[in-house]
Amino acid sequence: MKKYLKIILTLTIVMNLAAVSFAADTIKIGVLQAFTGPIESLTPPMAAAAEFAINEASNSGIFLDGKKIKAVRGDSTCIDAAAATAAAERLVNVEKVVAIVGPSCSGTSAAVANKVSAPNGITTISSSATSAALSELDDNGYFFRTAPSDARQGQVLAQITFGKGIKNVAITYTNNDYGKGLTESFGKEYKKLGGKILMTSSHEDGKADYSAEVGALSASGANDLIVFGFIDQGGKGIIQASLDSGAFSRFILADGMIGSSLTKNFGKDLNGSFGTMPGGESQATKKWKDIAKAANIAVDGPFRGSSYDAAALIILAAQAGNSADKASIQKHVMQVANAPGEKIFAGELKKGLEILANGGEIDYVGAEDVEFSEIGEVFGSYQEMEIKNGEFVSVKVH
Amino acid sequence: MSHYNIRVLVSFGTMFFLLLMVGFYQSWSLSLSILNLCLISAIMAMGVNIQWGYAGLFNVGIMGFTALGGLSAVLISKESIKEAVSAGGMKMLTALFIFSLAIGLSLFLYKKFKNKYLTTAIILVGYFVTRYFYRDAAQSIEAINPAFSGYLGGLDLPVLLSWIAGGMLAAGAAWLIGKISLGLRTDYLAIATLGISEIIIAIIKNEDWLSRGVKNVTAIPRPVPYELDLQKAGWFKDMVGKLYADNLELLQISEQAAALNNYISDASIILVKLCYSGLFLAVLLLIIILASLALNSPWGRMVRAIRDNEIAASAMGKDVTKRHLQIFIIGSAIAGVSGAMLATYNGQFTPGSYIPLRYTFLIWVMVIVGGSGNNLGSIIGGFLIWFLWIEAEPVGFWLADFSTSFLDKENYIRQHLLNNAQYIRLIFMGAVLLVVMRFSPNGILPETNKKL
Repeated sequence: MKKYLKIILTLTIVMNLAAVSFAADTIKIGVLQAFTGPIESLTPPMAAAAEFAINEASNSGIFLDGKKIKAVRGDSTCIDAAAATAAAERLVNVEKVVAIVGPSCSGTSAAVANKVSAPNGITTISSSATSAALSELDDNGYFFRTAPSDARQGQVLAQITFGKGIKNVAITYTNNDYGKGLTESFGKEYKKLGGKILMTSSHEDGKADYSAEVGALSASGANDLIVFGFIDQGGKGIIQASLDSGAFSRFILADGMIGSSLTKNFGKDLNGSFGTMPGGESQATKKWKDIAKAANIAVDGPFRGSSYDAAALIILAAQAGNSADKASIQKHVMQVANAPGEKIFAGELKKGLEILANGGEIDYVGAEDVEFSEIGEVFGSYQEMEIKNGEFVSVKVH
Repeated sequence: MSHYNIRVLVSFGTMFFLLLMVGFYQSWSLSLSILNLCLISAIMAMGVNIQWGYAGLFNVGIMGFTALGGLSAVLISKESIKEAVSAGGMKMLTALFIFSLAIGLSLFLYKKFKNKYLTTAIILVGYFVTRYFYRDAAQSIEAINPAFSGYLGGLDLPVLLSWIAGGMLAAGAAWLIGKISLGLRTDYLAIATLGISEIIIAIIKNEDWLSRGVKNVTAIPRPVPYELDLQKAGWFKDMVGKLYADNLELLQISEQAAALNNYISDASIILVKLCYSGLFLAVLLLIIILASLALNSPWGRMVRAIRDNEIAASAMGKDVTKRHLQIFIIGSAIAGVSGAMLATYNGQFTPGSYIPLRYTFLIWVMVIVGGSGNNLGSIIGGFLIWFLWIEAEPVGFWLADFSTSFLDKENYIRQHLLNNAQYIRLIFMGAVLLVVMRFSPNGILPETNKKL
């Protein structure tokens, strides 16, 4: 009996130590990203970008008359809705965050929006949940996203592809809501334009070898392969197997496949391949890239700029309502994101905060040209990327 | 009090105490959501315990049965998509009818004539005819508004029914699987169930007309009220106002309205979670009562005798295969029930999220840590492991922060540890498993009546 009492006593002490008190002049913003799980390699730079925006505003000294902002991380796991909602709940109820940047994936976003954001009245801005179905979410107006819906990217990519005179393609997609959503929106637009999809097949991530999939795709007779996958998962495997067997040499890629690790692996073998990734008007993107590079954040992957934007919007919305109250933040997000007002780019948060403090209006452009629709989603513009000399080069903005 | 009873009291007491601590030091809402998932995990662990602890069946396909439970939550409770049903419903029924006709006919003819070639021919013809109708039906259903529906929908019945239906669906699948693979010895059975659970997930992921596949089904109706409705309901506002009248009086008039709103939103969240806890607790109690009665009955002694020595038991005239099939079905049905409960609680069904680590091996850790063969053991295992699964994150962060607090803020090691604190969850699981196995090899609450 004595032994057990000791255990309980120790636990009490540990729990007491864990409960920390916080200063009142610091407000907190949750960064709820999938730090573990299938996209764990994508999330650290995303979190870093969000935290970069938070530090920028915090150090400016004029946020809500000199209040500091602290980022608190939570793990949304990407796949476990129960763990994601528990993490969100911890951020909201224990850490007392005023708003959340995240979650990363579409499934967990729906769970968190329904079970935590709406009931608690917490503004939640996901920077990477792209499923088209999230547009219909019953979130009471608390869920926003700075990553455009897949429905749009598929359309843009179809137009680019057809515009290049490619009339026949084969598609392989990663078997999840991202890959499937893209395939459907691409197919619809491409067929409307008059293109022909010779074969559509899914691939599962995390396999050692994809030569069977590639063999079937190449037997369809298509010359160009569309890969809607992930850069460090099945997508890479598909490209590897295609190059090894010589089945395809030109690939058409979506945002999940665009990144320097791809060109580092395959280099000039991929010359001529092209794709799309979210990105704003070139001026905004360029500014973001400059400040991100200075802060050591890798900019050549998806969703970094949108994470910066998500955090920046929360901060500016708080400043616009002159209150870190969670309801006030939600009311002002749309106002700072859309016209009218002075345009604010990435790295100019101090300027934005100043204008708002003086009662002015701003139109946040940010890293990826943010403009919200009525339901709090960005319309999204896309950069056409092409591989030239073994490097991704931005060709045009659509 | 015997040593064992003290162990039971202390382990449940500690668990209760831990949840209270979360309530006091973190928040009651978080404590309740951990509790709710603990209850669901405990039920899942009971399912595994019945198979492994009672009868020694090594099933590593729990994931498949929980997914079937989740699927039933969709099929029972979602509203049906009228356009899809009218476009492909009849065709799909025809395909299903031809499929069952082919199966039935081939079975019948095989029994009558024992002719392999005839049976094979019927199955082949049946396959192609079914496929002809099925392909057309699936395509026409999936073509209807694919971004937002693209499936048949459900039966629009109360979601609580799906808990029973989920159990039955899983039981049906278990019967089929058991018929095929229960003749296998333990390790072969493990491989077979692992593979079959992956097949179930692959079907659910790819048959969009049935489950929307990887496009996920969200907004599954709830058996309990919605927080937002409560927050708007007059009676609820009055009740919370009365409950917190003393606290509100201490504030200034101008602050009262905002404070009351905060109380109302907190209270609505807690009330909803308490409703869920009540439902889950009722299911858990029902299952544990039935399981204990079964374990202590002649039937329970028989299955344990089979587990401990199959040959001796069959020499005594016990039908080993039949008992195995029974146990396999019961355990899988319980996993199905818990899967339906989980989908109901999450309010969504996301086939892509079913991975063995979370839905098979974590459940196994619960059973092993808790003590296989002991119902209370698997409950405490489910509680403890889920609690750690969630609390590992803040604790890991705190550990990383505390252990490097003497270092400079920009120090590489400190930054690295803080940035990777989330991974401690997996390390924690391994450590807990090792510690429990070292100091209590039979689990926290070992099987009591091992000797018959």
